[in-house]
Amino acid sequence: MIETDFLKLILKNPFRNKSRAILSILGIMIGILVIISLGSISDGLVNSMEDSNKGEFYIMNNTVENYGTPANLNESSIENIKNIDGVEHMAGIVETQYMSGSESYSIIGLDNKELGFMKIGLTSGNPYNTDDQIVIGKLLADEKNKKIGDTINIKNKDYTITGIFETGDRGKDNSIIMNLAPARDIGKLEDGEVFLETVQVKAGSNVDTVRNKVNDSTSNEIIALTDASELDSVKGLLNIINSATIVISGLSIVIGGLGVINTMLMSVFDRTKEIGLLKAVGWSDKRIISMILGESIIITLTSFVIAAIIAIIGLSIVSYLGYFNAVYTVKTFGIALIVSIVVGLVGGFYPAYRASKFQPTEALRYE
Amino acid sequence: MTSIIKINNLKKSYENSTITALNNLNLEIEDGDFVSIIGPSGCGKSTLLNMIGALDIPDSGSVTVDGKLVSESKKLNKFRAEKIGFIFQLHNLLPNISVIENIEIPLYGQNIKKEDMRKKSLKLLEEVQLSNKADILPTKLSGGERQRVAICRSLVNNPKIILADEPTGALDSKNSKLVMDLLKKLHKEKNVTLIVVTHDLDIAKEANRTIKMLDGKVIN
Repeated sequence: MIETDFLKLILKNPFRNKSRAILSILGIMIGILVIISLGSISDGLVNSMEDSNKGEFYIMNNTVENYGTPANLNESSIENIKNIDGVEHMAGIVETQYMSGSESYSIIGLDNKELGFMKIGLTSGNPYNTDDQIVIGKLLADEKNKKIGDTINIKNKDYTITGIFETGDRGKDNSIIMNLAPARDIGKLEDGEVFLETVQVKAGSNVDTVRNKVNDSTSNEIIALTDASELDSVKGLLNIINSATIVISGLSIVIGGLGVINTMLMSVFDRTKEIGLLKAVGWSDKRIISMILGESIIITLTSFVIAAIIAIIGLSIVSYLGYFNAVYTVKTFGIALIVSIVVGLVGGFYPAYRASKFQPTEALRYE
Repeated sequence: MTSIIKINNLKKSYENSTITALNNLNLEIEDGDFVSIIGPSGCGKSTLLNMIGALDIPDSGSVTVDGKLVSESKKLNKFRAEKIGFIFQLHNLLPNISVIENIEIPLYGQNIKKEDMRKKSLKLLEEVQLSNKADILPTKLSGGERQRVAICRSLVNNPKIILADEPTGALDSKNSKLVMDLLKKLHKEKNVTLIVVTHDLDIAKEANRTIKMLDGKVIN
């Protein structure tokens, strides 16, 4: 068991030379901060992709129109999908942009009954009932300083705001949602056309199985996609982030380790006489090694704690601003903790070994 | 009286020096004695003290301390922790821990309860009239006070032998007298063998026995 006084000494010693300790902590902290940040962002991306696609897939036109955008989908051509085993519910969506002068709006067309299905939660007001009514996202309301009862003019037509919603999705929260008909009008879609159709799978049914059935029953012009297929492409990006995290972890160990070796060697040589005294009064080599290694680990653990606090605060701010959602997992923090301990052990080992080999008589004479 | 230290034909020289630090030295010191060792610089006084304290190993010859042949043993840290108390010219106190924690340093790893360590160290501080300074840092003490703390540290493990290398070398005359009086008193009260290396003849005279050294040999 480590005596409390010995532990106290280990905790105090690294901070005897404060500027040296701070520089060393900063050096290691940057590496640990990057590991935690990249890990949390990557976990957040996976999480949001998985969350947004639970029990759902969507159907799009497989042909491409101008500028590489998918062609619109005629709802009549997918009527039969409603009868496929496992399909619970379907909702058509129109997505379009309206730009006039300096004004620019993202517009989503959605039947007012489908607001709940699409997880559009109103924070105030009511859903739209008529084609000249709309609900708008909170970010848009704040930006344009609009409130319930105000109007927004699109294509020379005034739309009255009946409600304000907030989803946490920055894109949606900057949008206007209205009935399908006026959205088709603004986006120049024909009657019955939608941009995509969201399909809700029955509880207990497998999304991929139902999706495959849909693909089998429709022509090649129509494709059913799960978000998992999108997730696969995102996973490619995530693999890059994860590889970067591994490389940065490796570099942190090497660079941080060298920094710790330097700091601890200077500390050991500064305290040569003191180490000589400790050996003279009977301290074993093992105890000297434990003390120096302990001090080294204290430096790297301090770096870990500061990096973790900064990462949580920083990522929370960025998440709050809506750029992305970071997820803090035991795995990410565990990796960062292990890296910091390994850096401490690697960086502290050589100085500790050197200190343990000091001859007490020579060390006590050291000036 | 029995001999606590027996030294036979002890030889020691250093690689980077042409002088033989100890040259066929023979010596016996009785248990409980107060011995001073004097001689000019470089005559081997400190080397002899280091050999007795198992801090250094000889080229040849033997050193037996309290029945243990320290000249041929390895891993002598336990022996030092149990049998020897060291006092150096410079106190060598750790600046970042309190006075009382400095005294307790030799007891680390000896399976002694914290309360017992504290009790013992406080008692020693009382004996050197520094119990009111137990919790302050050594940097707040005067030179004489620091050396008194170093004396406490040398006694905390109940050693059989105290080895003091120029214990008053860095002190003024008033503090030198205070430290020597204290060492004499503790030697008597605790019945330890006290060996003091010094340049100062007045301090040497305080001992029961004075050993004169020259060129690595005892000359009296």
